Amino acid sequence: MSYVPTVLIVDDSRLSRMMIRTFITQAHPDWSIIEASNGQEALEKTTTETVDLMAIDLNMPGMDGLTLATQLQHTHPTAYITLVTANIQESVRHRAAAAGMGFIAKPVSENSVLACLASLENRRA
Amino acid sequence: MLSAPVVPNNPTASSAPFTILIADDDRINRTVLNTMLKKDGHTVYMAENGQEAVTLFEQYQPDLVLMDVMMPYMDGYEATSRIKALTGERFVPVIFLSAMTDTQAMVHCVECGGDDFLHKPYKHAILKAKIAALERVRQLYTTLQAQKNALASHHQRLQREYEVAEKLFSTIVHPGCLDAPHLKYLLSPMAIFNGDLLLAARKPSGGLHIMLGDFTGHGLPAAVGAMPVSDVFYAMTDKGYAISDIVAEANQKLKAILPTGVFCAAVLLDLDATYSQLTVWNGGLPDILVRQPSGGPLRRLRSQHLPLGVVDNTRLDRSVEVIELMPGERVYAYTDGVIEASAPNGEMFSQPRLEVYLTQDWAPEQVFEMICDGLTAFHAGGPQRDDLTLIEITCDARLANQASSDATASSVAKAPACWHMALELDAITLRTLDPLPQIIQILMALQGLHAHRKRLYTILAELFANALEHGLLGLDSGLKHTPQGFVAYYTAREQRLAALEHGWITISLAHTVIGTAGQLTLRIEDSGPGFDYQRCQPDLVANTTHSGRGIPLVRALCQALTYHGTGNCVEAVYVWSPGETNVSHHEP
Repeated sequence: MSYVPTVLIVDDSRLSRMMIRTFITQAHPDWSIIEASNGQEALEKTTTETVDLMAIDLNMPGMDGLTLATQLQHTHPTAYITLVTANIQESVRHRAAAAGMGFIAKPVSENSVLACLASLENRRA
Repeated sequence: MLSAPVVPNNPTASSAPFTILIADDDRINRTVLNTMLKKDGHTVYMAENGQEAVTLFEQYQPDLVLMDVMMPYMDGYEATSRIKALTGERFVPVIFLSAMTDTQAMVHCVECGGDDFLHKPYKHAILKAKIAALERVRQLYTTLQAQKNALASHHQRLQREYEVAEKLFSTIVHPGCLDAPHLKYLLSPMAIFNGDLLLAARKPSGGLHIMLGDFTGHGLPAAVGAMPVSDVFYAMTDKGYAISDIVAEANQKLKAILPTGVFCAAVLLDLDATYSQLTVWNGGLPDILVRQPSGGPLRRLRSQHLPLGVVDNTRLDRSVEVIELMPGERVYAYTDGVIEASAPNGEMFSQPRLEVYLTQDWAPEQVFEMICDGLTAFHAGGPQRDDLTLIEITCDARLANQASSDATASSVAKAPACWHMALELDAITLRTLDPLPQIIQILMALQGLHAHRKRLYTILAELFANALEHGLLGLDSGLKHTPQGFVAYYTAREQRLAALEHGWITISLAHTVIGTAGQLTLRIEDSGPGFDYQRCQPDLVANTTHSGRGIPLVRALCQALTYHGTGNCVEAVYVWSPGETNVSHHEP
């Protein structure tokens, strides 16, 4: 049986999660998807999971996306992490890029999600 | 555009000539000052006492005043108070020049409105420096004042533009018939313009269309898309189109006008005239919940589609779900603003919390208010992060009919005329087209029967549905007697229609004049096997529970209803009189 990637989507907006999930599912119907609406829930749902791709909203109540991403990077060193955000500050972009993370611009569009999936494929190739 | 006034930011501003008023009762002092200031290029006016100073100030509006303290008639304190009262929004510095050295006098100078103080005798260089310094302050003040005025007028213009736009917006995006007694709703926009959209309109056949939308973002940019959607919704509902057609049209419009990444999560609901059947298209909004009168487990209709404006119509799934409603059930639709409303500590109201409210065994009519109160208490005055909309629909045909009976026709019927039209639809056309809106349109254009529209639509819709569903698709209406069968019926209808290869339906309308009245004869024939209409008559009469209002209603609305051939042809006769406002037919 071929390997089935797992994706983690963390966003406080239900609609954003639904859009990202739909675009991924349309391209890869067999992929497994985990959704979380905040940082704490994301950590709890991924303790025993191998995750290949993470789409993490930067601006969330409670734990912010960058803090969560940094923590998840330690527990899931092989995962490709992308930050989902509307306003990308240069400083944040530099820090994230230096840590090997990608970006998805908000509002989420089909093209930006597909571009993110393409960079995952490139990393695995 | 906001244009900042030009700011003279010149360090040698002290040399810029301005108008100075000197008030001193000593002639020598005045002359010395006058000579010195004139040499620097300033224009000088001289007053011998306080009273004269006030008069000259009013007359010449100087930029700066040099004021002695002790003067006859009116002293410098009094003169300064009066001058400061005259300056209005201008800043005119007053420098006191006095031989007095006691602290109390200096304090009094400032209290009267003085801006600086210089002891006599003074060095001219010091006075010049003070004049220059106060001039800089004066210019700063002038600049600030000009900017404040510019901002104020800009704000005022913006406010006016907002008011005009708001008026335009609310005319186009009007709430329709949201005031109907079986609807309750909560609209809580976070800005003047709502990024959420809530529309309701009565269908020509009775019943109701409701649309709830949530555009990406907030405020004006989010609200702009509401205008074309609202237009499409009202126009197409009025013409009798189904919600799947409205979905397609709204999606096409939004896909064309909205920038990438901006879209509209939406729910379209179609309630039939008896409030026993709900048709739903949910594209991206939270689960629609149906509450039983006693509370308990909820039925839910999940989002099955992408929001409007994301993909083009070739990739749009316009298929709908149909469920049966029981009397007293209540349907709840809402935007993410409700479940994502946050408490001051960042915690969300959440879907589970909303469902706790809906499953309690509270009296049904209290539930909506309980949720609203719950939201307010949860929110506890914290900042609102999103537009928030919630609607409750009560399945009560009595309330619904009461609501539709006050709908009045606005247009006058045309004089009865003689005409005839016939339409033959083959299987391909029937698969893709609902001909009823177009037929009703033609009927309105020819006879202007707006007051009769709902009744005519009902007759046409019932007879056409029978021809299609029983004649061509061979569906058994007995299926609809149970809730499971009801869903199965509509699933089968969709499948069989999509696979329809053969068959036809003809619709013919003939209008004649009888005295002063008009008579419309409507004949619908299908290629199906027909049925034993003489033997089935009692069944038809009984068949009202789960299949709309059926044949008994059509019979009540018409002068005559007769079956022909093998039962595959039905003819209805409808008589109307010009000037007749209260139509005498009674609805069951």
